[in-house]
Amino acid sequence: MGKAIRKGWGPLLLLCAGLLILTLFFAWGALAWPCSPTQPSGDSLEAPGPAHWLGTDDLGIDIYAQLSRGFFSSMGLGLACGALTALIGGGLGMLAGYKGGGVQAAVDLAVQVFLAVPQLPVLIVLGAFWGQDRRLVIGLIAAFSWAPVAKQTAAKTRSAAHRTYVQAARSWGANSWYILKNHLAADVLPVVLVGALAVVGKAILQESALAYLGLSDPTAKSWGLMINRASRFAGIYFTDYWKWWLAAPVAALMLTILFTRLLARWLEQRLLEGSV
Amino acid sequence: MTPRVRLEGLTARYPGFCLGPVSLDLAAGECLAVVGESGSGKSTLARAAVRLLDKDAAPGGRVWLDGQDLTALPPKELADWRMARFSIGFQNAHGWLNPSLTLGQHLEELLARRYPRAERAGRAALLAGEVGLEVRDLGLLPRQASGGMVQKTLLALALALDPDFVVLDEPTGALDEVSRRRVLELIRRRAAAGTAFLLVTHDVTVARALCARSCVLYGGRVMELAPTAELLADPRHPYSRGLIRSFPELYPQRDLWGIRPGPGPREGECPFRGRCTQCMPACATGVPELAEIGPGRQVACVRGGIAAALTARDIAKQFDGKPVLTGANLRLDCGETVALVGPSGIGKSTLAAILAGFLPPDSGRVLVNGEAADFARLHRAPGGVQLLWQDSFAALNPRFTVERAVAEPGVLAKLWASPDQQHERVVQLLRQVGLDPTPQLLARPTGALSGGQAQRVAMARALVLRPAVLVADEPTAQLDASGRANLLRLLKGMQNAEGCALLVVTHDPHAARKIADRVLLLKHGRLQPVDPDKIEQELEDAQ
Repeated sequence: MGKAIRKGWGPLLLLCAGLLILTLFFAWGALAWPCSPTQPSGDSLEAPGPAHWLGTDDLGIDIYAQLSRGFFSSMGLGLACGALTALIGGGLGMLAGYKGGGVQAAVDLAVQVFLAVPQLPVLIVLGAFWGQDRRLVIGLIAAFSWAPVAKQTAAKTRSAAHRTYVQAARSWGANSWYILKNHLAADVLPVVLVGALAVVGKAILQESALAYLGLSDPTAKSWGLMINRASRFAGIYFTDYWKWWLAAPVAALMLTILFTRLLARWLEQRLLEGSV
Repeated sequence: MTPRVRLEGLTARYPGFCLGPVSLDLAAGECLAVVGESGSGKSTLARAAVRLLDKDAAPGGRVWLDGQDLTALPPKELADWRMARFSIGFQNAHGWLNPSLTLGQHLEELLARRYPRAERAGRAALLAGEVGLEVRDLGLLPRQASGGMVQKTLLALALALDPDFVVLDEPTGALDEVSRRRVLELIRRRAAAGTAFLLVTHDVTVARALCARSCVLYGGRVMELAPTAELLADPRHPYSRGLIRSFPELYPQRDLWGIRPGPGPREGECPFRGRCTQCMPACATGVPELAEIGPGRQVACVRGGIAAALTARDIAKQFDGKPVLTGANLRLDCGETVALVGPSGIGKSTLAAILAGFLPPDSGRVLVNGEAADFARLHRAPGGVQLLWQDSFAALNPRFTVERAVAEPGVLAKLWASPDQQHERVVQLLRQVGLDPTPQLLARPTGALSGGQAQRVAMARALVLRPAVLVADEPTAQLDASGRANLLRLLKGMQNAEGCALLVVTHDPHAARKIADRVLLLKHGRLQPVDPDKIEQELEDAQ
C-alpha cells in the first residue's frame, strides 16, 4: 500500500520539488543577492558572469535580481487570483449546486455571461483604464476566472447533494452548514482547489500579457514588463543580449506556468477523476 | 338472566404476585378458556374460583354459583358442595391422589357420597369409559399408572357427581392425541348438558376446540376477553397478540418469536408495561380496567388495545403521468412486522419512501400514532419513523468512520451530553446488530466495509433514535444466502427486542413468510392482504 502511494504520488513530489527549487532560487535572489532590482549595479548589458549571474539590462540593472522580484510579484498575484477565484467560484458554485432552483438559475446565468465574454479584449480595454492598480488587476483576472470553477463546483455539489446519505442527514435535522462541512466538502473542495490552482498559472500569464502590452503598473518589476522592454530594444535579435535579457524572463515564466499547470492537471486526475 | 357462575373481584396475594381483581361470568353450558404464559396466575385463579386458596394468600372477592355465594357458605356446607356442585381437576396429577388407593377406589370413594354401594362399581366403570380408561386400569395404584391415566382419573373425579361448575387446569397436558380428542369430546358433551367449564390452559388449540370465549391472563389480570375465534384471528391486546403469535400450531411457516422479555408486572401500573411495545407515560399511572371495544370484546389497555403505529390512507402517486400507486391503504400496528411484497418495479420502494416520509404522495394521508405525520419531527426525534435504505453503501458517507456514521442521527438530535455516552451507545448498537465493535472497526471508513457489514452499520444507525416505526426497503437485496438468513433473523430479533413496528419491503416470498406477522401484496397500485402460503402464486399473477 505504502509503496503504491509513493509510486502514484511520484509526479506530485517532482512538481512540488521543482516549484520549491524555483522559489528558493528566486528567494535567494530577492533576499540575499547583493544587487538591487531597481538600481543599476553594473555596466549596461553585461553578459552573465560571477558578479551578475544573468547579466544586466540596458540600464545596468541586474537581471537575476529583477527576475527574483518579478517571481514573487507574479506568484503573489497568481495566488491572490487563485484564492479569490476559489472564494467566488467555489462559494457561488456550492450555493447554486446545493440550493438549486432560483439561486442556481441566477448563478448559471452569470456563469454563462462571463464565459461568453471574450476575455483578452475586455481585459485589455479595462486594463488600459485601471491596469495600474494591482488589486484591480487581481480583481479583473479573478472576475474572468471564477465562472468555470463555479460551473464545475455546482455540478459536483449537485451530484453530491443528491446522495442518499445527504438526504438521510437532512432528515435527521442537519442544517446546510453541517451538510456542506461534513458531507459535501470532501467531494467538492478538490474541484475548487484544482480550479483555483489552474487559475494561478493562468493569472500569471494574463498579468504578463497585460504588462507586455504596457497596461500594468510600469514601475512594478514584472516578467511581462521585462519581456516588453527587452523585445522593444532595437535590434536585440542581432546581438547576443536576448540570450540573457529576453530568454531569462521567458524561461522563468514558462517554467513557473508549466509547473503550476502540471500540478493542477495532476491533482485533477488524482482527486477528481480517480475519486469515487 | 343470572349467569350460572359469577366470579366477582377475585383477588389473592403471594409474595411477588398479585391476582386480580378478576371478574368473569359463565353461562350454563359455557366453556370459558383462561390462557396465558406460565406464571400469569392461571392456576391461582382456578383455585380462587373453587375456594381452594390458603388463608396466607388472603383470598378476596365472591364466587356465585346459581345465585348462591360460595364465600358465604359455612365450611361444612361448602364441603358438601365441593365435588357435588362444583369441582376442579388439577394438572400436576400425582400429588392429589392417595398413593395407597387404586384409581378405582378413588372414584368409588367419591361416588359413595351420592350412590348406593351396588351402583358404584358400575358408575365407576362408566366414568372410566367416558374419559378413556380401561376397566382394568382402575385396579392400578397411582404410582403404577401413567401420567395420562392419572390425568384421566382426575378428570373423571371432577365430573363424577355431575357438578354444575367445573374448573379444569390443563386437562389435556399429559395426553396423547387420541385421548386428547376423546377428553375434549367428553367436555363438550357435558357442557351441552349444562355444566359451566372454566378451562385453564396455555394451549390455545384447546381453547379453539372447546371454548366460545377466551380470556387472556397476565400478571394476575385479565388483559383481553373475546370470542375465541376473533381472539385468535385478531387479538387486540399487545400481550394476547404476542402470546398467540408464539404458537407454532397457528403459524407453521413463520419463525417463532416469544414476547420480548422485560420487567415483570409491578403494582400500580399496567402489568404488561415492561414488555409492551406501545406503552406511553400514562401506562405507568394506573392499572387499566377491562373496557368494551366491540361486541363481546373487552380489553384492558390504556390505549384501548393494539394501536396503529402507521396508517396510510388512499396513497396515490404517479411518475410522468404513469400511475404507480392508486389508493394504497395500510395499517401497521405497534410492535408488528408486516412484509410488503410485489414484483420488481411495481412501486414498492416508492410506497416505502412515502410511508417513511421521504417522498410526498400526490394524494392520500399518512398517519403516525393516529395523527397526521409530521415527518420533519418524526425523523429527528426518538420514537419516530426511520427508513433503512435499499442501498446501504449509498446511504453511508464512505468517508465517515463506522462510529461517526452510526452516531450521526444522535449527534444531530443532540442525544448525548458527552463523547463517552455516544461511544457507549454506538458500541451497544453495533453489538446488537451482530458486529464486533473493535476500535479498528469503529475507525474504519464505511466505504471499506463489506456489503453485509455496511447493511448492519446502516441498521445500527437506524436504531439510534429508537424508532417506533422502521421501514426497511429490500434489506437483503445485496446479500448472499447466508448473509440474508443472518440479516433477516437479526432484523426480526431487533424488532422483537426494540418493539418497533417493522415494515419490510421485499420481493422475496420466503423472507416475507419467515419474519412477517402479515404479508401485503402490492398489485395494481393497491395493497391487499395475502396468505403467506400463496405468495409465490400471487406474485406470478401480479406480474
